[in-house]
Amino acid sequence: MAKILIAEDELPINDLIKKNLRLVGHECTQVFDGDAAVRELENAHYDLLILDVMLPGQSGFEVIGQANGTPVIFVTAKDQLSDRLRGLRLGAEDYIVKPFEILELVERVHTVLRRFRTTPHAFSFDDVTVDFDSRTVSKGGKPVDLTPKEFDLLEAFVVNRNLALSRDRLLALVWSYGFDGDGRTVDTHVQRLRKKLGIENRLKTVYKLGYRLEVNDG
Amino acid sequence: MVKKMKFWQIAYIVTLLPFVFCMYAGLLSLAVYTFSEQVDNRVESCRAEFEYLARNFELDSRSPLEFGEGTLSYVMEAYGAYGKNDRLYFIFQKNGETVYCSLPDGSDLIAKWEEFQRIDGDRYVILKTDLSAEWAKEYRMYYIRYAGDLDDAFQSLILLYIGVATLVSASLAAVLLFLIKKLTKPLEELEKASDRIAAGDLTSRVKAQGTVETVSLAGSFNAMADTVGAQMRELEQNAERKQMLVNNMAHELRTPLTSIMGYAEYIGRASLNEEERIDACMRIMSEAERLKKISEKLLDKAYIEHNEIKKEEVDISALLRDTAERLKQKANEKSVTITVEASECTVSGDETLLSVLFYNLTENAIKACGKDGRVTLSCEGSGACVSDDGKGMTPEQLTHITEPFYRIDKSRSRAEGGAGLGLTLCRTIAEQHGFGLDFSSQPGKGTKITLTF
Repeated sequence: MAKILIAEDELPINDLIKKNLRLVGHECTQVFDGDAAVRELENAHYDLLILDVMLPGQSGFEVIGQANGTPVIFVTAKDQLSDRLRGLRLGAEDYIVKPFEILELVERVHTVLRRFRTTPHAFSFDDVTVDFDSRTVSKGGKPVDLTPKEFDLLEAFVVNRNLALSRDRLLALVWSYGFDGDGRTVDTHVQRLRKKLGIENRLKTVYKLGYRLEVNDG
Repeated sequence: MVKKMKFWQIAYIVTLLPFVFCMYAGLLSLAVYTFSEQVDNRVESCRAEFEYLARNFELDSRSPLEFGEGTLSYVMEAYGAYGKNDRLYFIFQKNGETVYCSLPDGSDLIAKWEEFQRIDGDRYVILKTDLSAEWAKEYRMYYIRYAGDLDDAFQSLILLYIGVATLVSASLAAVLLFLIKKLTKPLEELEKASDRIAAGDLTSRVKAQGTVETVSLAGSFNAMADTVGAQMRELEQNAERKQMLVNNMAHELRTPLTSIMGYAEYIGRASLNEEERIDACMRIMSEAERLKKISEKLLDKAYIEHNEIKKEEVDISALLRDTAERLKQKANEKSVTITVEASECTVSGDETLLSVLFYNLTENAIKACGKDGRVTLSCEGSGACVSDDGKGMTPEQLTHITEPFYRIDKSRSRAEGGAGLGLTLCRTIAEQHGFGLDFSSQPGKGTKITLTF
């Protein structure tokens, strides 16, 4: 999927971002200071730059000026409005404040990639192919008939693959917050997906957390 | 409501009014005095004239002895006619009975006889004498002379004096106004400057001018403005430092928190193998450790700042040797040698806190050293030194090193497990003891930290 450059000087956080973005299928490169980020941007093409503001060497605010059109998401511990406004004014696509939730990071990355049309058109695992453009699914070459909600649910699992999603989050992602349903709505839809696609061994129930689509594409 | 007057207005009125009052009063009294002098002179000259006339009358009327009784009346008529042109009148009485009067109605006049009196609005000098000649023995003669010209002169004198006084007052008022304005100008400037300062312009100053008092007042005022300005700047800097501390602290706390929350979520959501799971747990533990360290140091700092320190005799040389011993392991790992050059030296202070101080300074010195570096701990009567031959600092960095969470090289110092509060703590401990803590450093040559007792 997308090629992402992570510029963050805190090794644990840099690793954390890398590990999670890898799980959902992105290819990540790590740099730990501003100068290295600028060098890396000159040498290779990236679909997205995740940029810490307080970097050794050139700061994130300086690096973004040399990003040459690469979309940027700022990650920073500074949450003052002035900093956020400055980041956005400098052309950042989004701004994530530490501490952040992993699902929030994945969601924002996905949103920015979709805005720049660098999300894939289709995704395949085993004999299942999900076509995001035509919103159709086929299994072993034969189309499978899914309701719109079932397709949305499948898409949420694919975007957040290898990460467990709680019923509440799935409700929020697929049914939107106004929906007056409960966890059982999610359960029924997950059962139907499993049955229609025969992915009981992929779409797993995670104790206390919810469901996780386990696929190895990295 | 009475509007309060300004100082210059009061001074003006207080100076001008009494002067004007005194001048008018003086000139008027002078006029009155002059008038009374003139009246006396006039009465005197009239008396001389009257005496002369009375003697003449006696001589002129002597003739009854020659010409008979009618002569007296004839002479009286003659005198009356003679005086009329000159507004001089006569009255003659014989045994209290008026026998001749050249005035239309003179009896009232004689009734309330006075030397200087008013008749129908005009003044007259009135004199009397009893004739003494043998032939006129029963006669009394009254002399009445017009003196209204004195009144006229008095009136014009008064008018002249009032005119003069008014002219003098007016010019005095003008000159006084100018002088007082000039004299109180420094005060007015002072007032304007205070207004400007009150409005927030702390750079406003006044020029020292005018009298000794206003010059010294201007001096004091400027000194006050300087002090206020300096204190304002200090307060602002303090507030800025506090704000920076809060900002930095937020950052310092968020960073480990992000890792802790992130890895916990990662363990929960992702399907991990044993190795990945242990790695994530280790990271949570080490970041939690970091949080703990920060909170401990912050608590230490707060504790030291808000508590009286114990004062006891502390043997600094022993403390330095102990510090070197405790850090030996750490120094060996980096192949750094610690040398203690301590002569006998004791100070009054809190042993635990001083131990923390030297531990932090020495630990920093070891961190600053490269491989095979040297750290020297020394003390003498007036102070103790921690020096190293490590990478040193620029003057710019030196000014920031005791600020909380300031890091010269943040990735390196975090990797070595610093909380970013060590030197801040050292400074607080030194301040609480009343000791001086001075840093001198040259990039590439090393750093020397001196604690002055």
